[in-house]
Amino acid sequence: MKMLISSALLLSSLFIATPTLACDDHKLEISDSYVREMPPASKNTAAYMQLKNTTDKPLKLLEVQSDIAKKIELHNIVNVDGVLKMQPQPYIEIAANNSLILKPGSYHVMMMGVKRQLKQGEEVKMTLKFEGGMTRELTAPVQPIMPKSAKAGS
Amino acid sequence: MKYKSYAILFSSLVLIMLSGCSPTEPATTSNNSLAPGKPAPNFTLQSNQGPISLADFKGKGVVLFFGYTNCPDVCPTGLSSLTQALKQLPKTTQQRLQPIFITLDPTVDTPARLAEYLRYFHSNLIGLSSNQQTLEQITQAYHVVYKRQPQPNSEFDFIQHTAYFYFISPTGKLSQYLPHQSSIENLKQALTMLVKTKQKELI
Repeated sequence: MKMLISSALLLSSLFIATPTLACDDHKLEISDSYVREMPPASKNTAAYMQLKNTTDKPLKLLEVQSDIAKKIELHNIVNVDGVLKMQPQPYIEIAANNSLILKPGSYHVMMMGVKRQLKQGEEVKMTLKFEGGMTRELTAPVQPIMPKSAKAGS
Repeated sequence: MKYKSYAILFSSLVLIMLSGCSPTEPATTSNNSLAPGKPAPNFTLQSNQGPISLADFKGKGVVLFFGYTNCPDVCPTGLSSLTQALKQLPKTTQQRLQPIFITLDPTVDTPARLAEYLRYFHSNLIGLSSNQQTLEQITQAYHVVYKRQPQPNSEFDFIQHTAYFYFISPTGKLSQYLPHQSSIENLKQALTMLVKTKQKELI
């Protein structure tokens, strides 16, 4: 009996200890992630990326954590009669079998009170937390402020 | 009969919803003097080199942008596009253009801080600050709508604002305005046209 209990315990502990990442890896693909380089005198920046949900259910990004900033929020920019409003979002939802691009002027990860002036060439480590307990580690390069439409000029 | 009244109610609701102002232009106030072809309102504000007026740049094309240095997304995007548009123009054209950034957050954005921030984008950018009262007059004249959005537990507030580039001809007339997300190509065209205006006026 003791044997049975201990083996049951051992088995269940194995289940608990198994990282959920292995199967989560197929649920969400992150690409084109970057953190925007900071001009001098500014205390904040934003992270952008493409999130691809490969499951049949919507995925909700609830939170992003990183040591680099005092405060990190999920934001969207909404145009209300021409006035651009930053709206904190309780979550960012990626629809089933769909992609969502976090980009300037739209959904983004807002990093406030950044501890140093981030420059191109650096990297920022962050953790993305999703509904249902899934987490993803991400290392995003710092890139200069370049709109997507920019072509290398003179 | 019941359905009819629902239909009327519904369509009147839709009409009410559609009657909001157009989101594509600077908000119009009762003061309607700002329009392409009309003189751009003059101003005198503080740069880190002393007071600067719009009238100082007669003979140059001026591009104006209102924002603030703690602006996390909109202003860097706009300033970056403007910078690249300028850099892609011939040197002679660039020399006849003056980009100006006016802060909406004068308590934080001193002329020195603005200069430091703007150097990151383009060496020709002039940053202007002022007292709140003077700023009120100028933003009204340019139909800039802005509102402080306090942030609890944060070192700074966000400011909601309209974000347009104002193109002012070498003779001081408003030529046109474009939204901050305009393509580099569109900004280049608008800037080039400003300088062409000057050539036309000289003939």
